[in-house]
Amino acid sequence: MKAFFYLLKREVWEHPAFYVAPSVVGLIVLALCLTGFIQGVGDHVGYDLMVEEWGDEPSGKISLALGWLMGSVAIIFNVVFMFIFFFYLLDALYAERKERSILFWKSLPITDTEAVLAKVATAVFVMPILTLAVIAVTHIAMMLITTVFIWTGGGSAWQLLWGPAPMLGTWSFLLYALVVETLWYFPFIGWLLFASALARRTPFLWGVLPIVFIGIAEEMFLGTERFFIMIGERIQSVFPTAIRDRDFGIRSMRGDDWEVVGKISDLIHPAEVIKEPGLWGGFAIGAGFILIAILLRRYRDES
Amino acid sequence: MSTLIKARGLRKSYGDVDALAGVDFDIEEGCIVGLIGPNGAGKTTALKAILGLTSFHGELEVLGRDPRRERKQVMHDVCFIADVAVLPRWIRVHQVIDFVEAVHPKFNRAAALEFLSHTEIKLRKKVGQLSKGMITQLHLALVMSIDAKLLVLDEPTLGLDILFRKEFYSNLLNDYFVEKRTILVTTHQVEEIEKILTHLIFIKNGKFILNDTMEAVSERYTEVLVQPEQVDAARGLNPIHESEIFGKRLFLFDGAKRDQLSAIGELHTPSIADLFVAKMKGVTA
Repeated sequence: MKAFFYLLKREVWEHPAFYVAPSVVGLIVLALCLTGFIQGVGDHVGYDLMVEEWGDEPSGKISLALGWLMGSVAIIFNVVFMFIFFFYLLDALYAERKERSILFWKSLPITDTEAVLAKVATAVFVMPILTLAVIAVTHIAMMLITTVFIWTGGGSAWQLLWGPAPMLGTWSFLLYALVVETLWYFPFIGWLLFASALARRTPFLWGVLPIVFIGIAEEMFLGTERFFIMIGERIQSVFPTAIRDRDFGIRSMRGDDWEVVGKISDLIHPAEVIKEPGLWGGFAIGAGFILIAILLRRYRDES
Repeated sequence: MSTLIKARGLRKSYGDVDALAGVDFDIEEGCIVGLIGPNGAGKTTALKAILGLTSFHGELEVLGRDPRRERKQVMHDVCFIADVAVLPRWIRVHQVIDFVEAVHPKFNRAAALEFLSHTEIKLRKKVGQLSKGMITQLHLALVMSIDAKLLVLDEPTLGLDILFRKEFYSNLLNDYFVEKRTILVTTHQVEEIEKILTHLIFIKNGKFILNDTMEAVSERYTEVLVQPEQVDAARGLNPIHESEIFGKRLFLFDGAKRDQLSAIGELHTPSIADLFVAKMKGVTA
């Protein structure tokens, strides 16, 4: 157990980008947030919204708005997350061969299965956890900035912000969504690790070109685009899979009135995701590629 | 003494080339074995087979296990340093110590820190910031702190200056090599390990052309510095190698009688390097 934990830790040591890249995003978000508020105070726009318009609203409504806001900030992080995810996996079984440190790792009593599965676990769990941690810190920093701003407008930061902000609910949902995303992309994890284990050089080309070639060959010889569509659908369908239709949001009432239905944590429904056949199909494909990657790492003669 | 490594008909080829052409050998506990051969002779292949890093034909047991199928168990008791470049450059010294401690049940952290305290190596530094000599010291500190039964060294001092090389072997001998520990080493700098070896193996074209204890080697092989007038007599005694040094002829004999040889010249025990040249080239005029 301790050994496996250190195998994960080692991946984080090697790849500070896991937390540095989202931290850069966080800083940019905070800078934008700050500029927005400073300008807002000047012409009373943002502050009117928070202090005057929200001042009399029920806390459930504020909570909903804050939840959406916190969630939408996370979308920017997800773009960077996917980028790091892709390049990490391409590098994971290649860099150690390139720098020849593989002979050091292999001099220790660790099986190739353990070594490769640690990399899978890093992509599936460690990266989402670190990204979520940075998102949470960014949320808190944004809220601190907002607090100062609410005070300057004479409002109550507790009533308008800290009380209604659904922090735990949002963070649980985001961690859930990130992990559903990595699990949904399990076939890609397998494929990229396989490409990484196979490539003598340029794992990027090994990771990308075969997919492009298969797609183009299908178009040329069969005149269809099923392969590209399949890949594209897999990439896009992660959000409907993770989120689904839920009674969460705003229901219109008579007139201008509306009421809040549900809360952000209602979006978490792992039991339904687990029943998704597409998830298990993805596991099977991903596991196949991972197995080949393990065998390549185990039996290839590194001369 | 028990047998640590047992190989029977060990064979491995790359295409048409036999890296190992069916060799048999035993390595006993408590030995320091030098595996010497020219580039491409099969040294590294033999080591890789022992470490379970390559496939092979024939029988091979390391600590009673098959290194192909039971690599992890074997690696509990076997350490190796392949050459200086293999520690990952991004890792910090304290991280690599933490890591080895976490994954290796026989690692002694205190021993590693004690060893490092006698060096210039700072725990905060990354491996990439250390000199080549320091990286080897670090690797040696890690390996010497593991209570393993067999240590495999493949060109461990390649690219190091003479101070680090001397220190490397003196550390190994004084601090690491105790009874029941076994070292298997390959190097081109044979003169450096000459005095520490207990066993010597020469490998050529995938075959072991010499495999004996150092004592037996020095008894069996004799170098004779022959005066010009005795050269024909020397040639008559079937030397395995002949060379010229300072106008005199130097002959190397395998198993010839000492009293016979002393009649024709001055006797010496050949150095490993001279013996190596003789065995690799055979008789040359």
